[in-house]
Amino acid sequence: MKPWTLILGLGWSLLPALSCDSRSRTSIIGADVNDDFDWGIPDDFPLPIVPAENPMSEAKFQLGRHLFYDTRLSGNGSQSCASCHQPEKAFTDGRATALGSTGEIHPRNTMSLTNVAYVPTLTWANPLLQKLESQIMIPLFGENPVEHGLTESNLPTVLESLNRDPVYIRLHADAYPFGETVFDTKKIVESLAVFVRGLVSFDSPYDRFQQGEEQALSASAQRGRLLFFSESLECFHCHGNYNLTNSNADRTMNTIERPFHNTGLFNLGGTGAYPSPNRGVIEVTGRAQDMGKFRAVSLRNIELTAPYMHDGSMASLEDVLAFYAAGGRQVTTGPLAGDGRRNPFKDGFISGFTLDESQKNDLIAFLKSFTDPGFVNNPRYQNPWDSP
Amino acid sequence: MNALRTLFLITLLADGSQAFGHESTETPVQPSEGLKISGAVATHWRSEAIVPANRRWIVPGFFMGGEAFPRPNGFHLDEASLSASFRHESSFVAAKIGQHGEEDAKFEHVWIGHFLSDGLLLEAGKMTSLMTSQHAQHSSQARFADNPLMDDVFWGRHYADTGARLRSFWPNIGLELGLEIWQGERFPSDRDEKNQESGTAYIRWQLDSDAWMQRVGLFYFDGQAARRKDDRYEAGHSHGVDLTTIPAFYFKGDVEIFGGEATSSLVLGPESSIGVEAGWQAFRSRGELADLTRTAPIETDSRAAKVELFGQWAQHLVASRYESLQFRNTLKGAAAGVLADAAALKGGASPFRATLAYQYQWDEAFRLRAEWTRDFTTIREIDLGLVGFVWFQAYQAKGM
Repeated sequence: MKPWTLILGLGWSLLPALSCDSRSRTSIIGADVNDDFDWGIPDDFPLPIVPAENPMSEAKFQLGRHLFYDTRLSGNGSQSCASCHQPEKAFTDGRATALGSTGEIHPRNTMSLTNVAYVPTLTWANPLLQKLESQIMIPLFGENPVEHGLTESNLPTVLESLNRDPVYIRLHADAYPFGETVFDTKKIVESLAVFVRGLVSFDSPYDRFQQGEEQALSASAQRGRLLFFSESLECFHCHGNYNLTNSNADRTMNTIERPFHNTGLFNLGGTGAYPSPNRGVIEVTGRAQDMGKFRAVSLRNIELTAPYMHDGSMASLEDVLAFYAAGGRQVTTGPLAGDGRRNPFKDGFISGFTLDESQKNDLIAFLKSFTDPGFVNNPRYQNPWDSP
Repeated sequence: MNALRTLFLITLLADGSQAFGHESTETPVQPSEGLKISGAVATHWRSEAIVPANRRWIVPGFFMGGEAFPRPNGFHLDEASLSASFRHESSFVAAKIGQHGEEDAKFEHVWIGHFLSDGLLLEAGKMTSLMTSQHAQHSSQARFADNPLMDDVFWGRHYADTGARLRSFWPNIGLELGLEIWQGERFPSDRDEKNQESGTAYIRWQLDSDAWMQRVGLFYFDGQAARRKDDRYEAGHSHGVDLTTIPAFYFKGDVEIFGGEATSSLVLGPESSIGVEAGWQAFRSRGELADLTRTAPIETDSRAAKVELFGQWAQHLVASRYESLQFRNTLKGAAAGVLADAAALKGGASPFRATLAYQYQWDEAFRLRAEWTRDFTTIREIDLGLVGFVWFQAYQAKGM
């Protein structure tokens, strides 16, 4: 046999074997750092961070779910967590600012609980508030403003009520099979944290489009997607990432960023100031450069969470779009007068843009593609006391 | 287009002996005395692009980088180059200006060489590696319009860097040994101040007789990547790709590539020959895959192979090529899945490409080219048609 025929024969006989599909693979080892809890999070998304001292469990989730919807968890028995965090509104309340159990008005807009497990800093503007277990204490026991209105004096009555309820006795035993058999504040907070940490939304049309389902987005929404991720509009800089916010943390990260932004809503007296008590991160840090800085919220289910902004001052997505297109807000009269567009602390990405009507419609169509009906209608997240 | 016109002008003004169209413009083994100038143009029309114009080309399962850009559909200038070398006694200087696609013309290579003895050549400068015969080949000199898949995926199309090379020739037994040391700034290396240079060692053996030509070569490449990312579409080379949608990830670690090639051709008559060429490369890297907030250890063991069959009679050249890639990536840790997604490393299919090519040597300078390719290097399998022409001309002025 001639040498070249040998080479030819060997080559053509070996190569088909080389192209066998089963021989190429990427192995992921140790990615499923999971717990026993069934998150319902697709494999392509990382799991959120869970504090070691309060691991997830289905029993605690169900206990927290009952507590979340229970008005007994307030000083006057009138308010539950769900009073402000209603599932059909992606766990917001539709109000400009929240209303407490005693009628006090909260200065800020109720935040959505969609994927709150991934939020590295809770509430609108507090870089120090990093755990749900810490945050939950504020609405329960806060006095300024009063939300649930729990106090040292009424707490024993509330706990006694829970400890007598056969439903809670069973749920408590399941969630805390060891140790004390009665409720305390710690267990309430832990269970509530587990429940809200388990509120996850990853099945919007946008998610399906990202997974390759081209038809999941309308043609208009796909045009809006290009606008959203364009440098001319800059939206994605603060609302990118799989959770559509740059304020995002998961258990795969080495470094967690906790950004806040001044978007030019106010500019009192031309000094850059925001009106009290809504001045942003400066209220925690005392640093002048933190004036007007608030967290960029996730845009998941944004269609359902109107009104918008930390003060609920924008009624619709169209208003929000007009605000960003203008590069800030100019208030011409009254005590809040000032040109927010010229706020010295304004984020550089809020630079304004021009869209025609068709483009506005496209962008809003894309924003609405973040709505996850399966999330807001998920039976696991609904009020258990409504069940027969 | 200015560069293209300049190339035509300079070469056409160089009225002299014209070289045969398949002659290489690169790295003369022993450049002949005097001045040599050559120019080449290769332009093609493609029925379809591998990826849409506004998408980056990623072969799932592999890191991409360097200059491995996808060819667009329609007419495209794949190559325009002007090469020159000048040798006086035992020293020479050589350079090449090239333009590819939408990029501006640039000095791709500028290097000098000096024969330390009859069989020992020292070269230094910005030049192409000679570890394989493929790196020095461009569209105008090859049997196929597109570079080998293994070059695109493992080397970012070709490996050219600034460095030095020592070549030892043993002509009586057809042997060449080479050692190359590079600054390590080109894909798949990426150097910072802490990294070492990259290095290559190769051995090549060639045995010719009246009817037979046999050539076998082996090489080994060792490099390091300090923070290697896919920067193909940066620095003004966006190629219409929306840069903001490109995930920002990088690889840090060691890279080794081992490979071999063999060519055998048989002269059948005064104007006809047939042959076969095969190549195989193994890519191994160990390090970390990271983005701004995540890190995952990664081990990569990839393979690439190709076989070419070709036959030439009179002005006709017919060739076929089958190329196959395999990848085995292992990522560890909590961030492994996210980073594998970002880097498009997931997937289970082994990419392949099959090409049938025909060339017609119109005259000494012009060749016409037609190809059909079945490509499965992305998530879809497509058939591509190609027609075009290659122009190559050389001028040799001896005894200057």
